[in-house]
Amino acid sequence: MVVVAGTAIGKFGRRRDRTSFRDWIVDSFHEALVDADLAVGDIDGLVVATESDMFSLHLNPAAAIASDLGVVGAAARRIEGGGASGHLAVHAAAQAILAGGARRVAVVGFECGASQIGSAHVARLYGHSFDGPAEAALRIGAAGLYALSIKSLMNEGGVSPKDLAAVAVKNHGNATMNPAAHLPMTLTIDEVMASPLIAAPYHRLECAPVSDAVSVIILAGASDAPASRRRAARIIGMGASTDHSRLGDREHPGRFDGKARAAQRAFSAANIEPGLVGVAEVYDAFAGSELQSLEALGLSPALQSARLMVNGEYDRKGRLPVNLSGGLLGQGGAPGATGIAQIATLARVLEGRYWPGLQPEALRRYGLADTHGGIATLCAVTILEGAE
Amino acid sequence: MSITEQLELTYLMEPGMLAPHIDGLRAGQAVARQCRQCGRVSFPPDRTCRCGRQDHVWSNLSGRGEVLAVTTSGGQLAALVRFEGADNSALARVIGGPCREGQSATIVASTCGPSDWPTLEVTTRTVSEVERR
Repeated sequence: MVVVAGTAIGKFGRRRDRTSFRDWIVDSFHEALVDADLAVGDIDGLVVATESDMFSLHLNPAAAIASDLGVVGAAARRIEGGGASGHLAVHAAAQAILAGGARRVAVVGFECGASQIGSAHVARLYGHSFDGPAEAALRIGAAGLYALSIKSLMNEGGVSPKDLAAVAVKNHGNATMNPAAHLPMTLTIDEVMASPLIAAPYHRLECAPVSDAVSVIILAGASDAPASRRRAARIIGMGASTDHSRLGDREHPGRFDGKARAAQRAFSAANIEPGLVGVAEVYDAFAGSELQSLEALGLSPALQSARLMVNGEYDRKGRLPVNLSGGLLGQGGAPGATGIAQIATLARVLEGRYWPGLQPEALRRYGLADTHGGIATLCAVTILEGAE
Repeated sequence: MSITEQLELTYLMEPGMLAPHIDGLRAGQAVARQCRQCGRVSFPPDRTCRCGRQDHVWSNLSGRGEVLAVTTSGGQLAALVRFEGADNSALARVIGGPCREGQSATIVASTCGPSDWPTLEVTTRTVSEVERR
């Protein structure tokens, strides 16, 4: 068993405040240490996540960050898997603990692409996230690929353009109660649909921003967490899988079959059924991917997610709140930090200490975090349980 | 004040085993990979077949296909196209006019420069209409 001993979710956004990402990392690490009731010397493992050296202009960042954090001597590594980079770092840290290779591991995820390089460069580099130069050369970008995927699902029925806008309204709205969020906005469906068209059917407010961010969690073995953190949430199931990287190689380009496999593995490890999940952070890089993910994760029956969402099932006061943080649409998109922030968010919700206004009134027992790289190509799912 | 570092990067990429397919895109021909073991036809080509084999032959498809999904992105039309004879679908740039799902599309020679990675380009107009432009 692995305990989420401490968490820190740094501010998502565009940091143009004369600070460096290495400053943000030190600040968030110390916040997480205080939260975990641990000292620097207690940390014997470090896992760093960041998506691309081309954004940070820093190769081998884990080595420098170990020094910055004062944990020289700790086993350190960097993990990468596109949008799932941070989530995979949590898996790596938890697996190190379960294998007996470490006792208390800091998982540090960061991105600085919003402030360090221009958005046109970021967009062009992101185009290389799929089938290498062949798809990058088409210049259709992530938005174009996600658009073709959701249109394939829309052709099967069950999702309308208004449903996509409703996801954006919900997530930007939740973000208004999250002080760490990049894009807190109170919106109507009409306002979302009036924002500029990026790749039909997606409008700007249905596409996640590129954010700077740092998130840190400290994981510990059950007997290595301080007594003061006995009530901390714990990781009870992890699953990962892949899908064909090219959309056209998939039998159903609108469905996330790789994610379904990752979720089945996580549920099997946790030994619970999807119906028991009471809160979820789901990968909404584009509004439709929240719906596609809910169906793949088994949190909605096939082709029913849009109807359930419009009925309020996934609202902050609904049966299964999805993306209380605001998700990538509202809280922000920062691949190295995102999965770590999702798991930190769930740990706080399960402990009953998430942001006022977002914390569900009835305490939830199980939470699910879902993150992916590519277009649900490389998928990671984690299930957490609150202390009884 | 921020400190600026500017990089100028040039990458030399090789198509490798994809060379016949890439040459086909430049010429406007749909060159697909066919598995010698199970016969699966892939366009764009797989490096390893679903059956696990690498040995293959190259074959020319008709170059016609059906548009499965279409979007506009970055000021251009992009589509997922299932080419006749292929067991998968291909991402393509649509040139020369509008495009609807369910329409027939035909491959045309890539408009990319000789040193660029060529893109798969299709049109929903007849080839003679495109040539008259």
